[in-house]
Amino acid sequence: MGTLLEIKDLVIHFEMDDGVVHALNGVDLTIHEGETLGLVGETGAGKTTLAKGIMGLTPRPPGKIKSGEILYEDRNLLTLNDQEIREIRGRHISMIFQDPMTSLNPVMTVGDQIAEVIETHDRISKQDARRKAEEMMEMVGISCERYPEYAHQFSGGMKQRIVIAIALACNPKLLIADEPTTALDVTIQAQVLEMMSRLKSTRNTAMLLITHDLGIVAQNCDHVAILYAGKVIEYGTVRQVFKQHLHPYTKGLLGSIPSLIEDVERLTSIEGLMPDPVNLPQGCAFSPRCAHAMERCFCEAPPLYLMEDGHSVRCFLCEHSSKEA
Amino acid sequence: MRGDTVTTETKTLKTAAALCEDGSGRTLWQEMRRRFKKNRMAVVALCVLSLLLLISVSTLIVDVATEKAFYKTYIVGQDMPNKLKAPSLESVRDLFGRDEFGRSIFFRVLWGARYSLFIGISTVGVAVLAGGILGALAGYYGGRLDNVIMRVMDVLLAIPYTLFAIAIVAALGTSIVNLLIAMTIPRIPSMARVVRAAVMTVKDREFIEAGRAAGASDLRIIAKYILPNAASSIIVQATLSVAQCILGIAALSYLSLGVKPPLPEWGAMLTSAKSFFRDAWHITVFPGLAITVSVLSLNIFGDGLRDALDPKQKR
Amino acid sequence: MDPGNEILRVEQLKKYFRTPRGMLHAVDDVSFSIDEGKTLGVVGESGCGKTTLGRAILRLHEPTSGAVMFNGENILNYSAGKMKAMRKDMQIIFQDPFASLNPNMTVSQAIAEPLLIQGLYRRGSQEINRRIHQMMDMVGLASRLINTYPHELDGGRRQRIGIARALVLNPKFIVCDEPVSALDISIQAQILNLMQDLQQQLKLTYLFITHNLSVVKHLSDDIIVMYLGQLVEKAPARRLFQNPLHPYTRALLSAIPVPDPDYRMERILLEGELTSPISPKPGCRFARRCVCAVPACFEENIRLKEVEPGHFVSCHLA
Repeated sequence: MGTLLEIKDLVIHFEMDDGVVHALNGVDLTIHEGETLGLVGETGAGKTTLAKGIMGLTPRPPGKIKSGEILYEDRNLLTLNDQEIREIRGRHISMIFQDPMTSLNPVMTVGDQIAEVIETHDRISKQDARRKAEEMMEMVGISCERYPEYAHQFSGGMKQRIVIAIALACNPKLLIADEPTTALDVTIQAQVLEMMSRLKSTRNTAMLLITHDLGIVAQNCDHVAILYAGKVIEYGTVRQVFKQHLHPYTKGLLGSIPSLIEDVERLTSIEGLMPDPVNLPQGCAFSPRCAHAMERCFCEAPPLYLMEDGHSVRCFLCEHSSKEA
Repeated sequence: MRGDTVTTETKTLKTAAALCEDGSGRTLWQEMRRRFKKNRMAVVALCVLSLLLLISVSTLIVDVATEKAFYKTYIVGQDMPNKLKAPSLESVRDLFGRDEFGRSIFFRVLWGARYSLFIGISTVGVAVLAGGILGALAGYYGGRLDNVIMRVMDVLLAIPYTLFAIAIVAALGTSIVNLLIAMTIPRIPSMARVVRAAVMTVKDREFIEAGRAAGASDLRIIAKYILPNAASSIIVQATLSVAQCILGIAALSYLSLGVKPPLPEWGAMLTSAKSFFRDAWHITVFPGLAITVSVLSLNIFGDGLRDALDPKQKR
Repeated sequence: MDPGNEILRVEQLKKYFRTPRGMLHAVDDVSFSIDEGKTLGVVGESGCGKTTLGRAILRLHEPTSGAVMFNGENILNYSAGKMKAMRKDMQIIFQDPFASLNPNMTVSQAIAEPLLIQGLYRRGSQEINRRIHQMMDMVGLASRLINTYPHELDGGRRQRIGIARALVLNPKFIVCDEPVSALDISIQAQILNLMQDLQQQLKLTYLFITHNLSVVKHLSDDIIVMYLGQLVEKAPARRLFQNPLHPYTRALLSAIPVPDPDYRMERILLEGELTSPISPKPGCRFARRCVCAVPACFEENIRLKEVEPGHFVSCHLA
């Protein structure tokens, strides 16, 4: 699998009136062609900032890209001008947002919304665009008879299907899905996820799936990156992260979910709260909540240690088992 | 007895809490004040308004202290030899010049402040009270009561309010009390609307249900839960209404339906000045300026308040 | 706790709402009972009436018909005064920790409020302050937060205030309406643990409403599954997960993504989506989406039947 997108040391801060929000503090991440990368993190971990950063949608001001590069097919997305980034958006990389209710235009028929995207990017005639839009609708499981209907005539799950159809209309190589099913019920979520994975495999689209639901990640992703306080703290294949996790935060996260398969009397919760991104603790950001924290953790930030099998962890506990050691 | 687990959790939480929480206890109002202070224009407007208030109060004190002697000589007392004298810096009395009866315009403008402010504030005060109660009832109970109250308000809104004021004053005669009535009634519907809307947005929030689940009465819920949360929009609306009221009083006085001429009301001063406008610019400009400045300040202050109270501005 | 000591019994509870398009059957003929100290989980998707059920039991929405027997007495017949006193025993914890607290009340005011409403203590008295501190300690809120306002606190802490407020009257029964749905996973686990501990210490009875099946399995003794206002299945928690009988329950269980990459479950994908129960036709409300539906499902109303001890299901096929 070739590398599709590579993020190197991305730092994004938001300069607000009452302090600097350290949203991303050096993220390194690679997405391969056709794979699904799960990005997991709690509120304030920087998931959405990362997604918007890739799309070139960081609101500036107050956002400020301090350093780093985002390489897509050897071009640094951060140095492109507006015209060039618009070319990339939609055609190469597209995005689905959490709330299907607000991402559709209420006064335009859903069919036309799909056709419009095709028209602007593929520069084809109206008739062709319409035909292609109808194909897209069928593909996401909506009868093309509903082409002339408006967003409010669809249910939540149907709306999200249309949003997906719009996102996939130009055959992007990378789809960024920011909590695509959080607003949906479980049974609808299952339908949408099933459809997404089917489309992904037939079209060989890579996907960055942002979610806080570890179940979705386990069932749908190839690789997983765990984000905490604006840094990737663990990265590996799904099996590595779920079965041989090394970072105490990952362990705590998995212990926090009540299991459906086993009977657990009591959850092993992580104590404390997410750190305030305006003043992050010195050293490892997780150290104040970590049961294994050593003196060193409070003053020195651990690097990302790479293991033999490609699994990487940002924790001093893994210093000795890493490849360099 | 509490379990061990809870105790340990409490302890860790306390330490974690100490790390990232300042626990300042800053109320929403304090935060609002902080945001308000960032708006320079609004702060200036607030200063102007405070000055107006100070003027009204001190002129009142002067009247009481001198048993109206000062008032009688300088405010209403005529000094015909000096009529229409142009403004000069020689004495305070001549700062804004003299009017057609030789009275000091400067003093009259200062003494006039209290009419505008007093009538404006008391009118809006009564309107807020009446409109507030009606709006709160309509918004909280909804249904038929809401329909009845709001339709009556709609009827009131349909009457042009200058016309309404003219009708009342014409029917009951010109006096300050009648002026108050004429100014207040047309303000009630808009207040009721604002309060109703505010109550309706707050009423479905879960904390209201929490109160009901604890057994709170409707009165307690309206007074302790709904109104404090609706207060911000009411205050903004009230401030802006005071500005409209000052304009309204000036307009009615100008039409000789409000405060009667010898009294130094700004609108009344304009009426009597209008025939001398060509000979002496100063006798219309200064009272007019007083109206403009106070109305503008109230509007800017009201807008500043609205921005400061807007929850969307909170980070 | 002696087993079988029933604290709450709901009988044929109905709550209809009048809408412009017809009568909305939000809760339709639901009956169940809860024993003291136990947790009854209520699961279902949005619009299934689970929230309305919780509100109707507490008479926050006045039920259309039916009975709510609390300690053997039908509280729907209570006068306003008697109901107010009753509220000491029945409390509620809300979903949204941002909407459920009055932004103008400090932590201590929020916790004291139920005590003042019920007239149990005087404002500002020694006793009330002691009680507030005791409650804050119990739910794990640092006492220096006593004068903070909700907007200064995070979701987890706010939810702790919500719990303290519900518990301050020493209730016996608590409706928990999605108390952890709005929280992050690690905070969610803290709150769930806290709720479990409090249940043991104070012998609380929970009606735990949620759409999250793993949470409900973790906490509940019994579970009821609702679909469009009706109860479709009721069983002891473990039985429901081992042997789900209603096709809807089965589809629901199979739709949950399990956080284990090696775990594969056969997905039963449902066609279509939930409609709203406005003037519903007779027959099983799930029939239109059901893979096993037979003609009878569209015609006759079904009664809940006991298939094995304690396991009830409303399906023609079971």
